[in-house]
Amino acid sequence: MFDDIHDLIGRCIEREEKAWIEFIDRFSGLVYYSARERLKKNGYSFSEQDIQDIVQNVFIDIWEKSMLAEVRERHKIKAWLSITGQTRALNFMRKKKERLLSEEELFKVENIVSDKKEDYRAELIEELEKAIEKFPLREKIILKLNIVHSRTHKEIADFMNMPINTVSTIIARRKEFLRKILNSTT
Amino acid sequence: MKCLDEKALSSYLDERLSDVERKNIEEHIADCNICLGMLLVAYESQHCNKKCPSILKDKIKNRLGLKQPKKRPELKWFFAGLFFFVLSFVFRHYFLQFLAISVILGFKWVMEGESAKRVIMIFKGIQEKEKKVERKSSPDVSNISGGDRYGKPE
Repeated sequence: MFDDIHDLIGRCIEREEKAWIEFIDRFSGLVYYSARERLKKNGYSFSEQDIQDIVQNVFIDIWEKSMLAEVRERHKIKAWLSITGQTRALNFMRKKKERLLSEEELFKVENIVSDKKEDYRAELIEELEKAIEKFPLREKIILKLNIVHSRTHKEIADFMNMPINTVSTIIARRKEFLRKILNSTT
Repeated sequence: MKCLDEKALSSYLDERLSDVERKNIEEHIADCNICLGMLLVAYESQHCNKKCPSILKDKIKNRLGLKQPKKRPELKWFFAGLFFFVLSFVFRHYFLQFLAISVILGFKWVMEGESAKRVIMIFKGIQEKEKKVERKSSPDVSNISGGDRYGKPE
């Protein structure tokens, strides 16, 4: 119905009902996915009801606080919505955890967040961060994306708006360097 | 380290971002795994086509007070059920079979209706509440007497 995203957001700012219905139909999936992924990656234990509450709260906030009027880059609304969804998801789970702690449900199995696998992963990340501490900014980010987040060279190049050959060269050179450091410390 | 706000962080995925602004954000995300992780999920979410449950979309629209066009249940199931119902009288030899099919199709038509979905949601809500009440209720300790570890009186 509204092909142009600028037009859709403009009409949402004017509180046009049809525009809002389309906005929700178009972007609720994205917010749902983002909230869910963020909680999974942070190791939270959550229910379908939690995700639904989070997504509802995001849209209610956007509506009540007229947050769309503050979005400068309308063509990048998806990125903004995703990050907003993730932030709200984390806040929601923190508040839920506080509530559960106050209700003395601390020792229930389903409320335990981390397991040994996550602790091991956290140690590895810490070791990597120490090793790359003095690298240039972009190289740090590229290595983290490749080693910690298992992104391909193409995805990293697209994400950072860089040529893929540059990314590949940096990864190859720095991985060799890291291998030497790790071999020398063991 | 204070994290970037949602607007600043999301602008990183804009190809039109200036080099200076890009560098400012990279200075932060190079050392902040939280913001880097959020950007990654935002990046993935733009390239995938995830759907939200339709019940949730309806809930959001209701909460915002948006008038939705009433969805009529798919009439194809109604007509299919009617068709098999009529067939059950035409081919009397297969009366029961066609009648059963028409009942199933009629049931499907009813279940796709909004009122049926509401009934299911209410039922699920009641079930979840009962589960929460069961979890919260403390165990009955009135019968436990002192004794050894097997509960036998000393």
